[in-house]
Parts: sequence; structure tokens; C-alpha cells
Amino acid sequence: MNLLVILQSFLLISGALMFCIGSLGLIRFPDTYTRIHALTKADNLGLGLIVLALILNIESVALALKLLLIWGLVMIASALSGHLVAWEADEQCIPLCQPGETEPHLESENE
Amino acid sequence: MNELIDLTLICILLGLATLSLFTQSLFRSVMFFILLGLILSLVWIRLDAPDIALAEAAIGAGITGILLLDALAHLRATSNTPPQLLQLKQPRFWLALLSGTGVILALGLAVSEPLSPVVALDLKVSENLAESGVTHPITAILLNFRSYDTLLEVAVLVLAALVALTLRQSDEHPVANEFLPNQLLHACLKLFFPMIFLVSMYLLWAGSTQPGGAFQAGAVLASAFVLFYLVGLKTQLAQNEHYLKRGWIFGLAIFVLVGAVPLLQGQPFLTYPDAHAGVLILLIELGLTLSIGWILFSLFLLSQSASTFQKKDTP
Repeated sequence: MNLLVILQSFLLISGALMFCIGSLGLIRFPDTYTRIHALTKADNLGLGLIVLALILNIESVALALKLLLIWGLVMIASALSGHLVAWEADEQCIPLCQPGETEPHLESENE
Repeated sequence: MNELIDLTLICILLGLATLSLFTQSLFRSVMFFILLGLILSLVWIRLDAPDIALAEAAIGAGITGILLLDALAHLRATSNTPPQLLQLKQPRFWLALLSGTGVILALGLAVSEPLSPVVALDLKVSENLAESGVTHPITAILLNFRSYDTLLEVAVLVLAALVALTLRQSDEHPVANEFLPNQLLHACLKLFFPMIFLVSMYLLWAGSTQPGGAFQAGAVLASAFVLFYLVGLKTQLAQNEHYLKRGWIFGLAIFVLVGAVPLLQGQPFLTYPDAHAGVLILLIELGLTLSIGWILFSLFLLSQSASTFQKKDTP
């Protein structure tokens, strides 16, 4: 029992930490493409960890499967929306940001 | 611990409301408004009202968000003047201020007045729940005890769709819609569509025993229709005004028909026979779901075709 609580707390805290890291990336990263990267990847992992923590003390299998289904659907949806944002940004020719820069510059496509 | 969560929610709610009102960029204020809807649905869950939370998430955050973003695109297409936040010289600002203060004062009065006849409505509902044909009290109230209210609500929705149809310019020709030619989107939506329909029908079915019901199911259905439209699967139905209108009226017609049958037996309007109440409510809800989904989608569709026309008009 005690071990279960410790494991759950560990999963919940690391899940929340993943969300924080994702949000930090959204604020700190320089251009659209890297921001999507931070959001979609870190948040999926964070949600997965939280779902795992919740599943640990659920008795009914159906409920656990529902939680897993939610995780799966959110993963597909966030991958899709991340792809769409990147695709649209590319269509609008929003420039990439080179490493070491803090602002995107316009010549990056010609290099 | 719970107080901490509530306090955080209240602070976020107030912060988002202020931000969405006073942000300079309209796009940001729409985004803050959508976030406000999501947080509001969490607040409803904390208040033990999952029905309203579902409706808020689906309608308040989902469909209203789509409509607002759509309206924003129209504003960009038609005018280039940045919106002024406080237009003190315009009469409509003062009109809005006056009516807003009036509503707040009226609400304050209503709250401060004690309810004169204290009726324990929740007890009455649970006493009569067995006769309503459903086991979820909210559905029992919406579609049996107070079905007049729901009937009129749906009528108001139909009216809104009719107004949207009238506001659309009459001399326009149907234009090919601009869909998103993205292969991944198509592939994923093929996977998602059956699931969205399943969720919609589940919400409808679950409405008789647990939170859910026609409005939530209709909003989910409308989102599926909007996605259909965005990937370019434009149906012939949406092109034809007759089909549009028939779709709007469908749910209302079933509601009125089912409600009118007791009139033949000399009973008042909208009294369901106790034995069939459950089936009749489900029938009405199915009609309402389809119609609400169709109406919400039409509101999106009608504004869409108007904008394409305007874009073509202004070089």
C-alpha cells in the first residue's frame, strides 16, 4: 500500500513536471516549430505519466481502458494539431531559427 | 485542499475574464475566451454539475470558439482598421454600459430578494422521478417536467439559424470551399469520425441515466460536421437550402408531434403516457441531437459562404 502511494506520487509529480517543462519550452523557445515540439512531446509524456498514476488504484478494468483510450486519442490529436500548425507555418513561410539566435531571421531558407 | 483548488480556479477564471476583455489583440481575446470556457467547465465540475460542464466544454469552448475564430477571419477580410478598445464617443458604448449595469443591478436585486414560497424542488423531482421514464434527474426536468422550456429553447435555436440565413447575402452563388489539402489530416479524421459519432450517440443514450443529453450530443455532432467541411467533404445537403431548413426543423417537428399526440386523447400538450415516456423522450432527444448538430453547423456554414463572397468582392 505504502509502496503504491509512493509510486503514484512519483508518477504524478513527474507528470506535472513534464507539463511544466513543456510550458517553459513554449515560452522560451525562439520559433514556432520548436515551440510545437516542446508542447506536443512533453505534454503527451506528462499526460501518460498522470494516466498511469491514476490507473494504479482503479479496480475496474473498463475505467482503466477508458483512461488509456483518452491518452491514445490525445496523443493522436496533439500529433495531428502539431503537424497542422507546422504545416501552416511552413505554408506561410515563417522562417526557422538557427541555433544560438534569439529571433528568427529571414535568410534561413536560402542557406 | 479542495478550497485551494477552488481558489485557484476562481483566480484563473477572473484573470482570464479580465484578459479576454482588455487584451489589445482580438485574436488573443478570443483565445482567452476559449480558455475561459474550459476553466468554466472545470468550475461546473467542482460545483457537482457535470451536465453543465459537458455543455460548457462542447458549446461554450468548442462551437462558440469556432464561431468566434470564424468571425475574426471575417473581420480581417473586410476591414483593416484596428479595433479601438474604448470608443467613448460612440453611443453603442454607452448603450452597452447602461444595459450591462442594468442587468447587474437586476441580478443583484434578484439575489438579495429571498425566495418567497420555499419549495424543495429537488425533493419534488426525486419523488416523481420514477414516473418520468428516465432515471437522470436533469434529463427528467429538461424533457418531461419542464419540456416547454426545452421546446422553446430549440425554437430559439431554429430562429437563430433563420436569422443567419437572412443575413447572408441573397445574390451570392455557391462557391467551392477552401479545404485543407493535408494528407495526415484526412487520414487521422478517417480514424476520428466514427469515434466522434460514437461519442455523440453515447452522450445521447447516456442522458437517460447519467450526465449527457441532446444538447451535448448535438454539439459533438456539429464539431464532426465542421471537420467534414474543413477537409472538403462538402455534401450536397449543405448546398441546398431546402435540406438545410428541413434539418433545422426536424427535431422541433418531432418534439411538437410527440407533444401533440396526447391532445387527441383530451390530455394537455406534452404529457407523455407513463408507460412509453422513456422511449418517447429518447425519440425526441434523437431528433433534437440531429437538429442541434445541424443548426450549429449551419451557423458556421452560413457565415462561411458569406465571407467567401465578400472576399471575392473586395480586391
